[in-house]
Amino acid sequence: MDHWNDWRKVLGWGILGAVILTAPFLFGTYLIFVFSVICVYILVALGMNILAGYTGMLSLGSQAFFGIGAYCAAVLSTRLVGFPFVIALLVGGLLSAGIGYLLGFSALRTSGVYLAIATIAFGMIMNEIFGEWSSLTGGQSGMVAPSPALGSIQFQSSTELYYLILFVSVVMLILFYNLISSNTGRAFIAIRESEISAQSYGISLVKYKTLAFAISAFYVGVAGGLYAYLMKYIAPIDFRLLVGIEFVVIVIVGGLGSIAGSIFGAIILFALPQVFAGLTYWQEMVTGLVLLLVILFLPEGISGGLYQLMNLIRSHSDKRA
Amino acid sequence: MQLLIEIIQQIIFGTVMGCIYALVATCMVLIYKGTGILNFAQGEMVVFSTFISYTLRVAFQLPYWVVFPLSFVISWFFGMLLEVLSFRRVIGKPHLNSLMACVAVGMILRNATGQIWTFDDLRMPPPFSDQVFTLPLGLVISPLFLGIISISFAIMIVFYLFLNRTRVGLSIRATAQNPTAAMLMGVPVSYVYSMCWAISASIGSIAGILISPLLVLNVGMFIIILKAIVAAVLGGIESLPGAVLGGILLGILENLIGTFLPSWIRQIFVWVILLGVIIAIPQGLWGRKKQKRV
Repeated sequence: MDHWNDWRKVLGWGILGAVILTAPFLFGTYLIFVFSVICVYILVALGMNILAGYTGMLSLGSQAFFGIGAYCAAVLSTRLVGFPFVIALLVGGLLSAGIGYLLGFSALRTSGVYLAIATIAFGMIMNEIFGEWSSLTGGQSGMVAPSPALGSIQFQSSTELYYLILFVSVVMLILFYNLISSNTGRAFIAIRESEISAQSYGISLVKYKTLAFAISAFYVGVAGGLYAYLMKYIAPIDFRLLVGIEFVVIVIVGGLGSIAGSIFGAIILFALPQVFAGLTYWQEMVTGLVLLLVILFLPEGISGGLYQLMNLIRSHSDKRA
Repeated sequence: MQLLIEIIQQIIFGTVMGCIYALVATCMVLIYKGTGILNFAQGEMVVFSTFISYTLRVAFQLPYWVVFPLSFVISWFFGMLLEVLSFRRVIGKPHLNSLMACVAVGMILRNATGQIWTFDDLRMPPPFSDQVFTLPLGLVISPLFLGIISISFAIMIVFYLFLNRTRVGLSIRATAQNPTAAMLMGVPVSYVYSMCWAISASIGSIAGILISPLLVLNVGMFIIILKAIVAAVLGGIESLPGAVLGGILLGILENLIGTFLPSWIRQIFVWVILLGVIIAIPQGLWGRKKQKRV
């Protein structure tokens, strides 16, 4: 039985992998663009998950890190033609991480609701800076982001961008998996469960809370850089408070504290609107309803709910056999 | 001398805005103390009630002395309905859940307001004349300003008496202090929870009628009302007098800074103050420090 299951699993993953890799040959340009967007938001969701899902801290200001990463990529690639995109992404990610590290110190002074408000304030301040620093960011009217380049190689078509974003996402996903299964990941979870007991086991809150903020900001910052390359145009309105709220919605709807949850969340929130394109006016209502229902009835998110459902079906069929 | 008059003028304008912040911050503190939920949907609730008042005033042509109480009563039941349908289920859950439940309700309300009425700007007719008249020294003021300040203070005084002099007020205070003990003493705790939301929605509806003639009435107005969070935190999120003082202080500071410094500083100033207060004095200016127990 187990053997049979394993065989099916391998086949399933193989087909999924093959579809992802050959997607540009199977689907149209627009769908490829949607897939790329989903990849970007999976990275965002991973970053938000480190804070909300693993360490138990709520940030409603992460859109600022998204913006820092995006502007870094756009400015570096505009000013220095042919600047390697990998370095631009890293610079954006590391700058975000540095600022996130500093913001993390506010999490040492406060927690819960206060921390959420503090991060809102941070996001609002950064948004105003994006809008006012016209010489660098183009002000409220925004700026054009050139295609990512690696020396003389340019990634211009949607297919090339898709593979680029897919590659970065997979690398970051593997890093994330390793991080979560390491000492650091377990320290994060210990802090989520109880700060006081974590401290008494010798886990330094100063170190791990700031670290969680820094890593989260790094993920969101890199995602922001990819977003700028993908959209080719960014403005402060892309980094407003509602965007930061949407980031949290992704991880809560998908499922807190799980990688599958991040992936599900990003797909649900960004693929469904494409399917129901006629309902643009109702999108906020639908998102709100889904969020409310998940909070009230599915505390583990949709991925947790699916997992429970699968277990139920499995135990049922086992009983029959 | 000219500068001094300008400052006094701005303090008057700031007090007007500050009264609205104070009213909404009072609602948030009430809900936070009573149920442990920080109501992020307060802005949307105010906007929704204000659109109802707009319909009563403009479509039904009712006079304002009918609109105020009617809108108060409608919002009362609206607040209760929201509590029964959603917020009741997140009481006592982690902050993440209760806060995001408020965000979700806010999203639904925001969209519903736009769907029912409009996503465009509306002009709310002012309840008092907004013709300014000149005082000695060249200060200007309008009946609308005086109306906003006096109604706000009247509501706050009545609310204070209600909390401290009536049986229902006593049960709200008891629940805020210790829900379990209150329940054992025979306080109907779930009824008190509903009351908190109902009162907040009602006071919010009055604040909405008062402030919307000064601004444009649209779905995006919730952002301005959200600044009441800053007022609540400034005064200490568990202190009602703190919320009032914090609100008025915020309104005045915002206006003074907006007059003498470039506008973008006015935009971030509120949030810089907020971040500073949270990091330096998390208990707020008038709050008491709390010890966490294991």
